[in-house]
Amino acid sequence: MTDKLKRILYVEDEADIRTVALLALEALGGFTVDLCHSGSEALSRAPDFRPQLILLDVMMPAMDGPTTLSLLRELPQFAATPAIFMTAKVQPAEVAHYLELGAVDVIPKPFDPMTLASQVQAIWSRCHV
Amino acid sequence: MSDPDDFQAKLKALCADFATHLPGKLERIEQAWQQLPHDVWDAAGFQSFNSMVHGLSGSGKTFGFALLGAAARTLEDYLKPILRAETVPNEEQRQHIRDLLGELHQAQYQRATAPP
Repeated sequence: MTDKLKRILYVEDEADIRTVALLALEALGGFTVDLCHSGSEALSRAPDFRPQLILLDVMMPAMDGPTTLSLLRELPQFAATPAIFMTAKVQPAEVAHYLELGAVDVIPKPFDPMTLASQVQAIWSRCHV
Repeated sequence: MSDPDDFQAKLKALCADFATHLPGKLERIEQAWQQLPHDVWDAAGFQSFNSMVHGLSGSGKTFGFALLGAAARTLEDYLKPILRAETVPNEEQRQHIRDLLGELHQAQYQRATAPP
């Protein structure tokens, strides 16, 4: 039986985007979301929060999304946690690159708050077929 | 999960808040650009300027400012090769950046009639 998606770790440096994504994911998706404003905060919070899915912005200062994911992957409990990048760079070659880095999918930015939760849910369901 | 009407009301409030703070963001972007030296490459300053523009390109449409987001994306794309080259923009490039900043400022007044 597929695990129900409940806990999402969301890493995004822009406060406005964090706020609207949190509203969309919690209000429309019913998810429990832990917000991180940086990759280093994500590395700090992930072990206690135990996310089932990681949602990451790509372009962030200090530590970008791909670096954050690679460091999370070094933690045994997150070696296989599904991860989704959120980025404006969604040309086929760019998406292929992010998949090679270990993401299961890419959600384009700017995103539609009305459909973000359903996009995440669909990706989760596809990962657990 | 929340009531759809409640969600829409909250989303509308977030969009209104974004609109309220937008002039200040654009002013900070303008200041960041004005503070960049003309004669020496300021990596941190240029990166900071680029990051602010990137923020708008990623959020504009989400908050009902699709044209603003597109204008920010255009400027961000123009800045990429300059950042890669780490070379002070020449006068032609500076004028083009000024033009694109002007379009960004104009786009703040062109908002979608309803939140996304």
